[in-house]
Order: sequence, then C-alpha cells, then structure tokens
Amino acid sequence: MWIIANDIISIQTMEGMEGTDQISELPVSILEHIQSLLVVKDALNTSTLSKAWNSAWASLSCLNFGDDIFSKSKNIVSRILADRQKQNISVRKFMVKLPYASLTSNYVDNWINILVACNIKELSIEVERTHTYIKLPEAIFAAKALNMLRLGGFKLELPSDGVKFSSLRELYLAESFLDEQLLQALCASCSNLEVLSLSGFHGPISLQVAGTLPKLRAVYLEDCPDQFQMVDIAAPNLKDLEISSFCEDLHVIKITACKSLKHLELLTVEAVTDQWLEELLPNIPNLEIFHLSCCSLWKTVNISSDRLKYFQVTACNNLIEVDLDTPNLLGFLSDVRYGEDTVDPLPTFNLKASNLLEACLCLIPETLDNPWYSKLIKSLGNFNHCNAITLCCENDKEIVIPKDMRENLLPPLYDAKCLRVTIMNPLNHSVVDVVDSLLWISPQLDSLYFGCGTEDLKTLKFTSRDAADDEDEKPCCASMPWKCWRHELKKVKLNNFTCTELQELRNYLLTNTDILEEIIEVPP
Amino acid sequence: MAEASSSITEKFFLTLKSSDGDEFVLEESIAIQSITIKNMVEDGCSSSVIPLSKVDTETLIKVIEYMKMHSSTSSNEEEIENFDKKFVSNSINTILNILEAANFLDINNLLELCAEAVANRIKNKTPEAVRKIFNITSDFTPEEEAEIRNETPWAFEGNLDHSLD
Repeated sequence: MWIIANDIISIQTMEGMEGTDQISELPVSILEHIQSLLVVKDALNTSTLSKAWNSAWASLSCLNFGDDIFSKSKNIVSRILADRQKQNISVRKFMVKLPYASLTSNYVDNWINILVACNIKELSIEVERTHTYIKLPEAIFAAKALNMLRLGGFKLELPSDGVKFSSLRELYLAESFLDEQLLQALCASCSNLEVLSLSGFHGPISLQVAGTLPKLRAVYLEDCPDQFQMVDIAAPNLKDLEISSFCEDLHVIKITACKSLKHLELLTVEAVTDQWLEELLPNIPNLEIFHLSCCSLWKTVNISSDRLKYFQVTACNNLIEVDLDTPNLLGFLSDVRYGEDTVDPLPTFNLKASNLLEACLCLIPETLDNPWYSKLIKSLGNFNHCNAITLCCENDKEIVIPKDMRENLLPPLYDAKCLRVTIMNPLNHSVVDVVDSLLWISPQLDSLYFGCGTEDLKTLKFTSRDAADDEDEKPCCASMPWKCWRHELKKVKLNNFTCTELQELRNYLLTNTDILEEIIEVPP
Repeated sequence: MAEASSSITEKFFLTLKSSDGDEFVLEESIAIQSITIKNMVEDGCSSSVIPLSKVDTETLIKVIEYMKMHSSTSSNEEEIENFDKKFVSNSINTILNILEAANFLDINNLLELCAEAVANRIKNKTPEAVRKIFNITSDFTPEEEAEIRNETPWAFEGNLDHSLD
C-alpha cells in the first residue's frame, strides 16, 4: 500500500508543460529505442525533426527495412549499411522482407558482407520465394556475434571454412533448401543453440541431435518434406518439440534423453505407433501438453502422469482407446467423426482427471442420419464427469438429436453443469429446438453458452430449487441418477438473445417446467 | 493467495520521495521491479527515504500504479493487458514523463511499453505531423533540412498520414 504523505499540489509540474519540446530532450538512447521500433522509412522521417533525432538516427543500430523497401529504392539498404560501416557503427539488428527478384542475390551478398563486418547480432531476411532459392553467401557463416538468424527463401550449403556460429541462439529457416551436411554441422557446432525451427524446408533426410546442444530448448519441424525420414533427438533441456509433415513418410522419430520435454506436438507422423508411445512416455515424465493429430497407425494409449495438463487427439483414424490416469489434466480436445470414409471404430476415453477438466469435442459428420446421432450420444458419454464441455460444430442439425432417439436412453452428459456450443453456420432449427436437445443431453445444467470467447455470448443460466426442498412429490425422473430440469428449475436468466428468440424461449420454458418462478431477460 | 504468503515472509516497505517532496510508501517486492531501486536496496539505502530527484509526483503515482499491477501477486494476464492498453492512452506528455522515469528507474517493461506508445504515434506520419504532435521545434536551417530530405526522397513520398491522432 502506498500513501501520499505530503498532500502538496505541485506547481512545478503544472507550468511550463505547454510549448516545451520534451521529447527532444530525452536521452539519445531513448530516441534510439523509439526509432528501433519503427521501420527505416519512419525512422528516416524522424531524422529531419531536430538535431537530437538526427544524431540518434545516425547511430541507430537496429534497422528494420520492412517489406516494401525494394519497391522504393533498390540501393537504399546498401547505402545506409555502407555509411554505417564507413563510420564504424555497429548494426545490431537487421530485418528486411523482399519480393523475389533475380537481382536480389547480388544485393544480399553485399549486405551480408557489411553486416558481418558490423558485428550483426540479429539478422532476418525473408524472400518471397517463387521457384528458385537465393544462395546464402558463405560470409555469413563467419558471423561470430550472431545470436539470431531468420531466413526465408534461401539455399544454404556447408561452407568450405566450416560454421563459426559460436554465439547463435536461435535459428529459423523457412521455405529454404539446406543440405544434410550443413544441418549436421549446425547441430554439431552451435553449442549455444536454444531454438531450431525449420519450416517448409527441403534437402535433408534426417535431423540428428546427439547431446551436442546442451542449451537446446525448442525444436520446430514444420511441413517436413516427403524425403525427410528420421528425427533423432537427445537434448536434456529440450522443452518444446513440434513435428508436422506433408506426407506420412516420417517413419522414425527417436526422442531420447529429453527428460525436460514439456510440450510435444506431432502432426501427420507415421512413426507414432502403440509401441512407440508406450516406450516414449515413461521417458518424458515432465510432459504437460501433448497433441497428436492425423497419426493413423496408433490405436491405443495409456498415460499415467501427474504432470499432464492438456491432451489433444484429433483425426487419428484408427483410434480405439485412450486411458488417462492424469489427476492434473485440465484440458482435453478431440473430435467425433462420422462418414463413409471414416474407418475408426467408436473410441473409448477413460479419463481420470482433475475436477476442473474442460473437454472440447469437434463434431465432424459427413451425413446426418441415425447412426451419427447414436455415435454422438455414445461419444458424449465419455465426458459426463467433466467440469465443462464444449461442442464445436458446423451447423445446428448436428446436435439436434431426433426426439424418437432420445426415448429410453440415458442423457449422455447428465452430470455436466456447464455446456458451451459453437455453431459455425446460422441456425436451421429454431433456438428452442437446439436448447431442447441440449437440455436432453445435459438435464442438470447451470450454464449453457452459445459461441466462443467471453463477451456478449448468448447465455442461459439456470437456477434449480434447493435439494433440501421437500420432495414429497415423485416426478417422472425420481428413479433416475439425475434430476430433470422440468421439475427443478426455479429461475432462468437469458442473455443476449434476440427478441424473437426470447419470446420462443420464454414460451418453451413456461410450458415445459413445473415450478419456474422467474425468467430474467437481458437483451444484447 | 497474497495473504497466505505474506504471513510466511515478512513484508518490507520502502519510502520513495518524488522531486516535489511527496513521499510514497511501497512494498519492497513491488518497488524492486525498478533495477535502480533494487540496486539501492542491495547497497543498503533502503532504511532511509529513497529520493527520486528526477521523478515528479504525478509521474511517480503513474509508475507506482504500473508496478503494483505488474507485481507478481496480481497475476491475471487479461487484467494486466487491459491495464496496459488504458495506460498508454494517457496524454503524450504524461507518456514522455513516464518514459523518462522508466529509463531513470530502469524498469524495462515500462520503458518498452511507453517507447512503443510513442513509436505508434510516429508510424506512417509526415515529419510535420510528428512535430505538431510532440511539439518539436526544428533546430535545422531550412537548407539543412532540405539536404537531409534529398538524401532519401522516397522516405518522404507516398501516402503519409497528416493527421494528428
């Protein structure tokens, strides 16, 4: 807590404010800081403001040329760099995005020569690639001070003098070609590397990290190409690992000695089999976030962990069973698919998880017939004990279960208190039909939300009568494990529904409940 | 949560004195987000009042507001985000005062936040508009200014924004 000890109104600060050039009196380091947040074009503009700004610009060590510099002037980058080299001013940070042009290559050679001489620390050159790569000049590999390198649209080959990236901490390569030898040399020699990100790359058939990168904390392999076959990583401090590939060609993934791994995402990876999972999981005891998507070879998984917090499994076609003994699991995401091509049986999810578990299910039916609704009802049954359930669907028909199918069936989510539904397309049914179906699915809800996020959602909040209230009357559901909302609801609050919807919902609720006392309507 | 932890570890308080002579009492754990204050505490200056001769009362109040919101005990990310958004909507003079204070007090996040707020007011604007917004008087002769502009004429062309927003 703080208090104002002397309650003096300062006169000094009030006067003299108007008319002073406060900004130019700031230390040059601050002006430089402000300029470093601008693209060069804007920074150049500030250089004409006053002498203070001009001198800040003259020594600015962070140059972000933005993405349209080449259309303005082809030589400006070279000129500004040459000027800095001449005056012995270091260039700490250099960023530019270029459209592809056959000329670009010569310019880039020249820039990199200067930048290496100016002790470049963070370099980012992204070229919009058409069909050829720009060859990365060998000079860059001698940049000993380089901390961060981000390249897009380049061809990288092992230089004759070897790689001297002794300070490199982060390497991001996108849409680039790199040869296998270079990748091996990088993994063997960049002992300070913390982040390795390859996205849409070509060239290597494998990535092997054999304990040579003690500081490595994140590896992202995105859109691995067809010929890329093997990942073999042993990195004791690796925390994040994401692998995705175009085709299902990635057959071998070895994750060994990665005890720190917290976050693992695998997308379209053939290497994932039941046995592979069984062998891997005990070796990554600190895993907190685990995503498996489009991996079609595995059928069952059994995870027992008190660290796992989020588990996501989608589009894994042959999935049969997921057993989770994970007392701290907070989030689970999966999908329910149905259609001619869907071969998957109805997977079973046994979740021993936190009381706070929130499950999210994406519904993906190709046709809407009775088997779909039957599959949906069975799938939902897996998640009855979750704290909150979200259903994501394209249109409302997917979740309006035909009335004749509801008869004699146990509501699948009878224990659920909070249900959220996001529907992509406009409603086909009336809002009452949707609510009626959802209240059959979950007859004891406290809250029902339509849409995602938190603001301005269409919401129904339900208040039931106290359990202590007399139960002389035995309603229809007296022998059931849940209490039917029709006899229990005392109060309903409707938020953000349209006038028509409100009227429909009001009529529906009044005709279908016994003891409802109050409907509160909050229009949008 | 804060209550529970405070019963275990004793709270220390610091007194900060603005250039106007106003004194503010603040928890040490919050105040040491300022590296300058942290160094003073480590050098044993914390028993007496810490004079901040370069920070006036109005600015210090804002800086303290910021430090309290960003201290580890009030951890809600969304709250902090909303606070920051509102914080940078202060008048440009206030932002500049805070920026200077953040530089002096060495509070990196606050410096970054204010520098970005200033940069956002400059982006894509003509030098004339920037001069008006920040009340900058040029100390260049017209010839000198023309010379600078002629070096890179393209930077001063195109769809620049003349508005003062």
